[in-house]
Amino acid sequence: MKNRKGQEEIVGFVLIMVIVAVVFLVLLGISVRTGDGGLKDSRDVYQFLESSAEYTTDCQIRSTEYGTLGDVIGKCLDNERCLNEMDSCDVLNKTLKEIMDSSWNVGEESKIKGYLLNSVYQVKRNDVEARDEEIISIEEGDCLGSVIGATYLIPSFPGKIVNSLKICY
Amino acid sequence: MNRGGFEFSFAWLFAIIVGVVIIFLAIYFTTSLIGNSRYEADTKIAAQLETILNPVETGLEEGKLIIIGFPSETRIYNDCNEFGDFGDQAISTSTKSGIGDKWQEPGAKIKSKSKYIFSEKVVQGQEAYVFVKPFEMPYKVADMVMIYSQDYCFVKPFDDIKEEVEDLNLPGINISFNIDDCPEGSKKVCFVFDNDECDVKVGQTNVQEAYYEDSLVYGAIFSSPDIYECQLKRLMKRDAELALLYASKAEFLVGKGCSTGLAGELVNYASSLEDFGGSRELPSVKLKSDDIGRENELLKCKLF
Amino acid sequence: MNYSNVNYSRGQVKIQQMAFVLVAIMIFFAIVVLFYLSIRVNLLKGDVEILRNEEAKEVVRKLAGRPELSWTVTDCASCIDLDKALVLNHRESYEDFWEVPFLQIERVYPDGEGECTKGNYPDCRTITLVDEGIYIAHSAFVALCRHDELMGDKCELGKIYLGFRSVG
Repeated sequence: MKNRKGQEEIVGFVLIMVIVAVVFLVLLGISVRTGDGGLKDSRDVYQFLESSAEYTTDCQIRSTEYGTLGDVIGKCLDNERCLNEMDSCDVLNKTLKEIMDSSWNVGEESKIKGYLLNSVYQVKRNDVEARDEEIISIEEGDCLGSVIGATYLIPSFPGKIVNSLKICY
Repeated sequence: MNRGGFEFSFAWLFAIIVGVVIIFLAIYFTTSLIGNSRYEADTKIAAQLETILNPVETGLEEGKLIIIGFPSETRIYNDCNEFGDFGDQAISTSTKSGIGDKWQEPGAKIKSKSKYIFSEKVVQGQEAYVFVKPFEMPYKVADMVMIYSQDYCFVKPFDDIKEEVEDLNLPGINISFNIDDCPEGSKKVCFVFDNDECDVKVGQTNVQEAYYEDSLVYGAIFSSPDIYECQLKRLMKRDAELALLYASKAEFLVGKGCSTGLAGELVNYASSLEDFGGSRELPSVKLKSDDIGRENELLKCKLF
Repeated sequence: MNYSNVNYSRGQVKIQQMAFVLVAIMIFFAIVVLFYLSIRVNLLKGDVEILRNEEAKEVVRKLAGRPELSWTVTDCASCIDLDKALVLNHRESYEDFWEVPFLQIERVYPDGEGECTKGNYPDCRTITLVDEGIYIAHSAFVALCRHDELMGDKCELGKIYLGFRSVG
């Protein structure tokens, strides 16, 4: 009788330990999984947006001056033509697409599976977002896994142009 | 039987002697190890300080402030060497400790050719304030990094200096219009007036024996005269190399449809800088640099 | 026949049992904590790696702000003067100046081929200012600005690469 009681106690103890271990592993698994995902702010993407905005396009804005990508985004917002008769939005679309293709290796077989680049004009009236006008949006591939991104602002009185880029892995 | 005698066997004697020797060796090696560890730790602190000062450089900013905190009271040794194409800047540190010497010799020197630190030869404190200003003559040459840890009292400062101190909220710097209102223990810096209590006297063109132009005034105020003159000579060497670089750029751009006409002037400017003898020659250098700056502004395709 | 009387008190047996149980529990929880810590440390290592990379990119970017490389004709923190970089290459006085094992400027868009010389500039891809030793390279996007005969001041997209010496 005594021997059996000891064995029962040991079995009970081991069972409790196993249950605690399983519960702990499940909780750990959940916490690790929820740690992933969401948009991570990326310095690389921000530097890309900042540097691209300085790119000199073929759109002439003054007699001896050609506009940067930042200037052309503003011109496209106002639907203005370049002085050399080019359509600012066409120049913007073409240049952005080519820059993205040259800078980010996107494809099913590469690390980067897709991207989403857009420029939106935002203006506030009485501390409320009054107008959100999309200037351009370029997308490629799939955005299913983890995402890194950044936002670059260009002042455009009375509002601002918010350029954001998301790179999907 | 000799009751007053004490039996001392050889085994006991041997054990005591060996024990004393072992304890002595243990203490010796421990203190030596602590000493080496401190040297290593002080070298690491200097290397970390050097790393912290890397991204401190200004871009488009007019000035910058960072505050560096140390785990314990630390001495920063500033060493300047003006020899070579650019000279070099060496910093080393030493920390206060309760074991062994309170302040031991500093760790290894960490050298850099592109930093220009204006400070006293030894800056001591648990916090160090780092104030960065760009130096331009006429193009940006480098960033001047002023490091200080003690309190200062600026008495009747010039308007631009007062504005800068207030805008950046420089810690440890009190602005006063009366020397008697200065906090006790602070270093009194008097601007264009004389008083026996002044520790540093700043004139329109000089800080005691050291001449300055523009932002160099901060270098002259916060650093010892030797360090100021050495760093100034290093800055002039860098200025000379940049002048030659811009001269090469000017010659190269002639073939690209951009004729600046500045190449010759820049080469002459570089030659005058290579013979720079000290801060007394600053006014003449400034005149030449202003001429080049004005000519560049009038160009259709600017060099800088 | 000899026999010895061994007298165990019930209390002593219980204490012994409790001691074993406590030891077993301590070992169990120690294993659990070790397991948890090793997973957290691995996650932390990943975060540290990301932070280090981001920090390295900032250091790389700051190098582009050096007076020898920065474009100062207009106010542009992210711009490098490509004309200066070209004439800076192979200057004797700048041989030991950079204090890094690798420094290279690359044009990303529009693309080009080959190392830049005065002959093929600007239709080239890279300007390598320093390349020596073993290093781990980090890069940052920059704008590459120069004077163009037809367009005046022109900026393109590029990258600056900086090598860091690997420790240990």
